[in-house]
Amino acid sequence: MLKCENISKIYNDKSWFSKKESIKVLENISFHLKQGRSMGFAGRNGAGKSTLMRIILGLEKAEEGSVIFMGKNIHSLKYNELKNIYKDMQVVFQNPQSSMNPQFTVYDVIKEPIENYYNYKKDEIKDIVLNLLSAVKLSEDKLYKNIMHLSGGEQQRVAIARALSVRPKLLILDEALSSLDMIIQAEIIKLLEELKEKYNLSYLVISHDIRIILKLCDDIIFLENGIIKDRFFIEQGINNPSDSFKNMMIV
Amino acid sequence: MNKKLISINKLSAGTKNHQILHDISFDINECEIVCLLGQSGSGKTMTALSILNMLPVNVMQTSGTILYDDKPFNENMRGSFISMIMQSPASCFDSVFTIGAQFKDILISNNKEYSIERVCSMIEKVELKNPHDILNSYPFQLSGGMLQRVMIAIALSLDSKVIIADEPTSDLDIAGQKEIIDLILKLKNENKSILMITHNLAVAKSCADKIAVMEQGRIVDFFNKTELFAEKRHRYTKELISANNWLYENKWDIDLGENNAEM
Repeated sequence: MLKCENISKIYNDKSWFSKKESIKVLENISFHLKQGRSMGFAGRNGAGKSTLMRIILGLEKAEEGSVIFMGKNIHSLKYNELKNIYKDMQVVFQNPQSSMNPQFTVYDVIKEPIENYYNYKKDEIKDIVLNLLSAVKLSEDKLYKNIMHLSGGEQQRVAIARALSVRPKLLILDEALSSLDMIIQAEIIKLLEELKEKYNLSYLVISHDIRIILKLCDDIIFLENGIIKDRFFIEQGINNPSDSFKNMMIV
Repeated sequence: MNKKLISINKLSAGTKNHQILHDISFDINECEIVCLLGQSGSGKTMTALSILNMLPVNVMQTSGTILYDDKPFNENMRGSFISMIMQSPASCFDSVFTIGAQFKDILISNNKEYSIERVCSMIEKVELKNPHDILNSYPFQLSGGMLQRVMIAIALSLDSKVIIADEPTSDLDIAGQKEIIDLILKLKNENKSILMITHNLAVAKSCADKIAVMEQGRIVDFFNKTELFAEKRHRYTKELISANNWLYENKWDIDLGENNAEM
């Protein structure tokens, strides 16, 4: 479904006074995510996880390499074609507050992508939104509440519902659970497991918390300083992990 | 028995029409780490702010007393007797001054002796290398973990008896969290008492002596760490424990962490 080949990313320091420096943040990243599987990117802060996600989403261009999603090379697409890609690939960000319009109600937030992609009538849209709300286990009376009046966990559920509203095949979770507390984390992981079955989703989970990745993913890629240090598949379990990966496992 | 450094008795606080804290009572003894554990919005930070007498303008303490070494509060206690490590270090420093200037400022305004050597030794104590480089850098040039350490160094150099740490680990990745916890345990060996605020049971478990569990502005459970799994624990504590244990289970059949084994 998603295939990345030899991705390298270099950031050039363009400051006026100091000498030009270039930092290689990603080097030769290749992987292949098959339909129906989920993949996790683990790594410490600054390992390049989020840059990789932005490249996969097409928000940033890589210096080298290609991202092929459902047979299309993301970096050679025009805006209109990219819009169609996002119908199949959606993302949930770390901070739900800053990724939603603070003036919107829950209903507005969830219906916006549906209106963008499909031609439904008003009452059909409402039915879809209500279905999504019950899928993420939010009660109906939250529908017309302002998004800022919800708690962090509830906001994150709304963000997941919004991402699911266009019926994507791949959902990218960029540290989507890290800012929540434990009980809510556990609830949302359970929810994600259910949704995976229900909508036949694949996840791409980016996290520094190995527990979340082990819960949701079948493949794990461990990044350190922009290179792939370890690669694990659930069928083989965790074989000879590097020392830095072992450190991550001590939670 | 250890001396009581801070004793909070039936503290309540709230705004005009909404009560935030209900009857909070607990003590912090000498050389002891007390953990306030609870969800966001349960009133942990409010409790810490009322100990410092720094509640936001519209929140008032409505009843209860807080005694500091058996004395009531006075302004001089901030800094000398009690100091605080704030939640997100990135927003606590002023980004137009160097770390060194701010360090100096805090020490001098609290009437502590200031010398470069002393400051450097403090920074080395929190396991940061090249103290001079750090003093000359601006806050945005340092990582979250480094700023958190500088913060601890400042609290240390004020030489106060009680340190309140508000979510010191929440911005960091897991390896960084562990390093900060080790540092906090080291502080305890230097005769500091610490009130640690966290929402993470694993963090509380790895460093606290006593744990106070808060839910909706009340302390629902208060116990020694060793009694964490006792039968008489409150419903909410049990929920936390089971959520925590559930997070450690996985389909890869991997046993995670030493902490889990210690439980």
